[in-house]
Amino acid sequence: MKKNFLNTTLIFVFFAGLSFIAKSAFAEDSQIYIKIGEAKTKKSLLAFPPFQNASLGSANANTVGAELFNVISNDLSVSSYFQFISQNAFLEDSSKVGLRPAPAEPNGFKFQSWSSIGADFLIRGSYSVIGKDVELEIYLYHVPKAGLVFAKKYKGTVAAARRIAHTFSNDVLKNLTDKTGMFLSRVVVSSDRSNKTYKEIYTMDWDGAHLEKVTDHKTISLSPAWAPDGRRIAYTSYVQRARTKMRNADMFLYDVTAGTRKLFSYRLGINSGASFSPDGKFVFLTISQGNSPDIYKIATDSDFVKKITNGPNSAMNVEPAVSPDGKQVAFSSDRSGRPMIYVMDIDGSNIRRITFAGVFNSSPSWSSDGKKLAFAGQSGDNFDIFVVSTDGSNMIRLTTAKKANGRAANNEDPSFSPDGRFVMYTSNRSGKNQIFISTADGSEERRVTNDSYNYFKPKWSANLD
Amino acid sequence: MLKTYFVSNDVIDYESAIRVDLVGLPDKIDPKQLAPAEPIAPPPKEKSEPPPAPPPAVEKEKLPDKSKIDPDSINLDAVKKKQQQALNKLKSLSAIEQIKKNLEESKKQNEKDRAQKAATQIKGNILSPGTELTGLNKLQHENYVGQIDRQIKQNWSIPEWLAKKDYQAQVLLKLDEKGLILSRHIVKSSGNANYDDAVLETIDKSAPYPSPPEKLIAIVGARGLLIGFPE
Repeated sequence: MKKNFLNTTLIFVFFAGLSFIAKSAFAEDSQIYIKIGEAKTKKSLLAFPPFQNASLGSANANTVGAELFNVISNDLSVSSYFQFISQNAFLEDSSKVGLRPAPAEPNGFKFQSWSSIGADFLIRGSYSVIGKDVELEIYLYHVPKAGLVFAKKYKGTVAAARRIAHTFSNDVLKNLTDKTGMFLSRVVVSSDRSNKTYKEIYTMDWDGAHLEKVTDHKTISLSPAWAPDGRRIAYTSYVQRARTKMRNADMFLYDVTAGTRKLFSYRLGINSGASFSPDGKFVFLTISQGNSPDIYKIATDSDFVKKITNGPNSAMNVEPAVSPDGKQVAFSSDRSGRPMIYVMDIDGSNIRRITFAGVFNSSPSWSSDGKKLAFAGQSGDNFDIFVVSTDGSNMIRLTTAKKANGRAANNEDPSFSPDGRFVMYTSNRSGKNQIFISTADGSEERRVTNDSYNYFKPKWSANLD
Repeated sequence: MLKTYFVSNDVIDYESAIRVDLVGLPDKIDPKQLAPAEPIAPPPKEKSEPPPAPPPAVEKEKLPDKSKIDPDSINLDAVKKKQQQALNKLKSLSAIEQIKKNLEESKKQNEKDRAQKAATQIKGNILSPGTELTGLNKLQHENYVGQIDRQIKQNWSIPEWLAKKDYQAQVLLKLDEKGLILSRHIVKSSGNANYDDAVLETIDKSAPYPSPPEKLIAIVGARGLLIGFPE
């Protein structure tokens, strides 16, 4: 982190010329140098007029167009980079002027109409729905420079309209920041949506759309995790075993594309809290085997099994999270008395304690650059979400929400977004355990699910194409 | 008789015992109120107060534009007062210096006359108006540079999508005797056109600048001011 520099630094370079009256004056050459320090940041003002409908009388065209528009609006709003200019302030009727600027296009729009209302960026687009297909032609302009940032045509089926919109939003962020957004990512989560007494595993887009049910075990299924490529999901379920009729917290591997599943780890006791290695070849998980739980590493395609942690003094070591570079594992352990966050090398050596504050810290999640960990921490009666650098410094609090009765809500199970700019977690502030996201600096928080069900342990995927 | 002992090859990890007192988890701090710190005018007494509790936002999403407190606006009075004090001090110092100067003036003039007589044949050796930067001149200089620094800092902002990228750019700014921009251009680019644009926009938005003190007119007009964003 760069600090503001105290005041200014002046550099004087004096040199004496051929002066023969050197006593009173130097022939002098100096350069005044001023360090201004870190900038304040501001949101860019975005003008986003409605799309033109270029469809030739398709019945559902308006619905598709509205969906494209709303998804992009929400994405760019969530990005926290933009402030939308109210449509009431627009000076130009975008349904009547072209997508490209005048005078190059005879009936084009005028940059003047947008610069005079202070717009930094302008998005113009039109869509057409033909049968089951939709095409979106869209332009992003930088208004002060009167220049095009990029223009693209996106084509797909009507069913893929949301993906088209998310793809454009990702392109906007990629063009401005050189970093792809997280808008094509999904979430895997345990929920009681289908039946109050069960919990099943679901996947959905990061914004809550396209909900899909992954399990139908009609029991408690929990702690899901993505393989890095998003094609497999590990989860734990109390499925009744066929022969013995007993139930145990067994771990399953689900193949998303094939829709098949296999029993993966079924030692007596807990087989839970999966975290894949970045190459997808190993799963780190917690196994108790009737003793205190420890972290194991199990290959997904061979018989390899290795115990990674061991005590000490029968302390529990749980909730492994493999770092994005695959070299470290964050986990929680009560080896010091209270559960705290630790990081160890991938082979279990070099254990470092990361958190010292609070009474109960759990469920660590790595940021995509491997520099930060999010975790749920309890200091009073409730859990809140915190982010800390992996050396234990710079701990910040993301959540402070209260329930309707004024008591502090529980915010739990954080998961970093694939671009590292957001953290997703559950919160019971509404009375139900709902999904929320916050920017990683805690500046903006949003609710993702808005229903009367409970959600547990959401995990954010990479961008999925 | 030989006995064999089998030892479990489980590695037991030990940790040296360290005393840890129970520490509370940190309170939430609005990051927008932290950055950027204003080094010129330290906040009066806010340090003892707890950080403002962010709104709980039950059920509702937080809207993008939060009411944020502009750190400059809080301390504007303090800054003004400080500036006024400095100015008064400068004025009194200036008066004393002026008397000294007047006394020396005649002596200097004599020397100058003599020197010019001797120097008439040497080209390019023209005496510039006094530019030794000591005493009052130095104070004036620092005050002037401080004013420019503050003026630019107030306008120095970049879009959030350019933040946290460690860009650096330097501008050479030349001003006339009234403080109007003679020229400004990037001498060290950040490598990002948008960042460089934001820097130039900040320079333009901050004009007009205070007129330079007499002794600095030549430097500010010819050599210019080198300004680093952020350094």
